[in-house]
This record gives sequence, structure tokens and C-alpha cells, in this order.
Amino acid sequence: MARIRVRILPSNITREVETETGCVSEIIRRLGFPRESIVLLYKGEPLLDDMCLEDGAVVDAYVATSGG
Amino acid sequence: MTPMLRRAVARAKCSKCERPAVAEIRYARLRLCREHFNEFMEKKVERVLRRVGVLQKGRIVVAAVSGGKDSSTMLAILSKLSKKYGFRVIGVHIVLGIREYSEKSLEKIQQLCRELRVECLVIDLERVIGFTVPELARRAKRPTCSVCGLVKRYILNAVGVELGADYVALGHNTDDIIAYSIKSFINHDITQLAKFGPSTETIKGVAIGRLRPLFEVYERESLLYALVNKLPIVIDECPFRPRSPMEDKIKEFMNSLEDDHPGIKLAFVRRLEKRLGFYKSLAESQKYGRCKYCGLLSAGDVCSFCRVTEKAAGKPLGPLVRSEIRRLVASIRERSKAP
Repeated sequence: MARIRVRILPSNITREVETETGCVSEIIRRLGFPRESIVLLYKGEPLLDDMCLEDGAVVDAYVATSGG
Repeated sequence: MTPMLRRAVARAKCSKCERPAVAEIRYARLRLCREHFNEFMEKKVERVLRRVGVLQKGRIVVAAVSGGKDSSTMLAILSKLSKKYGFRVIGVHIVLGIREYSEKSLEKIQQLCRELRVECLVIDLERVIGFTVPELARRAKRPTCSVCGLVKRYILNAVGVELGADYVALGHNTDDIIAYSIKSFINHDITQLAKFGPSTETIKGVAIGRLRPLFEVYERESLLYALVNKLPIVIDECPFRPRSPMEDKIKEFMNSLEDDHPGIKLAFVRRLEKRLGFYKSLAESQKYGRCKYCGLLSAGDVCSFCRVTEKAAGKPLGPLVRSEIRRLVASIRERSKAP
């Protein structure tokens, strides 16, 4: 299991997501967004779908459909 | 750590070079580094601009910039292409008077224009007409978002007319265009649907055509471009934005479809563009004239802006706005003449 802390922007709400793999596609699925609606950043760099994070990692999730 | 948990994998390489990828474009089966992603995005915009005939020396494009991701991405790409092709881009930002949101937006826009070295015109609504958008809406007894849209359309068009611009560029991305089109289908409003192409026509002296450089740019790509290039953007949402507008639901649905069928959104807007002639042939003919107060485009004797401001302030404020814009545009002309 890998617990990933996700700060969702622009709402600024932080959610802890429990995943089997820590992989980006699973994090997005667990957050409940379509993949196309969101961009995940780790240490300021965008994450690709098949990248995986370690337990305890903190990421920013930008919701593309909000604002503009 | 369970056996299922893999360590953070190394970043995949760009499909075009050895650099690490920052973007994955599923419908094109590409993984791109920052440089190639930028090139990919700029080519998309370039193709749209070529189709509508903007890539020519001497053309003038007024770019509406709000401080959000889409208009900032649009301005950054237009600025690059303008240097390559010799057309002129002038950013226009309207300070709407929506508390801290407007203050933050202005700050980001000024930074963006400085960084891109693009000429930007700032129009503070309260300073020009004495009211902010929320106040105008309250006095006119109209929804804030409706008045906001009206004010922005009016001012952008007026700036375009004064500058003799060829187009007013808007930051509408693929997802926006799909959402607006589906909404038009829901309302059976073919006249409205016929307007959602990459550009609309100019009516000389009264209405400047709209240009949508991000017609083939997905919302996610627009955000990614702003993030990977570290453009100064406002992340916050406007406090007046409805909690769950219909457009958001449509976007969510289309994004779920895109997840299963990569490229379906692109196919939608490309087919829409091909069918525009057909939709235009079905559209109801609209007769336009000039507003008797301000002289700009109007469906009746008085344009919507003059009507709303007359209700709110006791007199139509179109002529006042136009004279202020004339003054600002003259100062731009003076600056561009200076050595």
C-alpha cells in the first residue's frame, strides 16, 4: 500500500489517497476524476501516467476544468 | 513496502529526443519533453491561425487576457508566433472589480506581459464608468456573470475597433468549444452553434471577428503548457462562478469519453469546423445595425451595453467607454512611435 497526500487545486483541499501501487493512473482513479481532467505535479514537475510514487509522497493535483 | 508498491520510476524519454518527457499526448501516442511539447502546442495554434489567415505581416490581434491558464497560454503562444510571422499582438485585460480575485489577476497579467514583452492594455472598469461588475449587475438587476460577459465583449470589441484590429483572440480551448456546442444542441440553437468555429467574421468599423487560437488545444494541454513553462497564472476561481455549471458536467462526460477513446474531442471540433457552413446555412438571419448612442454593433437601436448601463447609471455609458479606450489606444500609438 502507498498513501499519497494530494493537494487539489484550486480548492486547496488536501486528500490522502490509499493506493495499491502508488502509480499516477491509480491515484487519479481513486480521486474520482477522469484522467483528462487533471494534471498531477510532484516537486513542481508534471507526472506521467505510468510513474509511481513512494508511500507518503505529496503531490499537487490541478483540476483542468476549473477556472480558465 | 508491499511487493505491489514499485519505487518511483525514472521519467520516460521524449518520443523525439533523449530528454525526459513531461507530457503524454495519448491521442497522438507521444511522450514529449518540454521543448517538443511546446513545439507541438505552437504548431497546433499555428495551423489554426494559418487557416484563418492571421499569419501575415501587419495583421493586428487583440488578445483578451484574464490571468487564467487558457488566455495566458494563448498569449504566450501568440507572442512567439507574432515574432516569427510579423503580426502584432496586443493584450487587453479588464479589471472587473471582483475583490482580491481581480487584484491577483492584474498582478499576474502585468508579470506575464513583462515576461513575454507583449504590449498590454489594462482597462479598469470602475475607473472608467464608476462601477465594478458586481455593482453594475446589482444596479441593473441582472446576474453578475451575464453582466460580466456583456462588459468584456463590449470592451474587447471597442478596443479592437479603435485599434483597427483584424481579430479579438479569446482563450476558448477545445473543451470549452465542445461544451458550448453541446449546450447549443441542447437548446436547439443552430444560430449560436454556427458561431463556434476557429474564427468569426468582422463587420468593418462596428464588430471585430473573434479568433480562437486554442480551438484544437485541450484544456489539460493548455494547463500543462502554463505549468511547464511556469507562466504566472491565477489558480483561484472567480467567486461568482456557479457551483456546478452545465458546461462542467459536459466537460466531465467528454473527458470520460476521451479516457476510453483518445482523440474523440479533437475529432469533435474538427468535424464541427467542417460542418460550420451547413450550420450557417440553417442559422436564422440576424440583422445588425449601429447603436444610436455608441455606434457599435447592435441588434436593435440601442446595444446591450448602453441599455444595461442606462438602467444602472441613468445614462448609456458606451460613449464614455469608447472615448476612454480611444485615449488609451492613442497612448499606445504614441509609445510605438517613440524610438
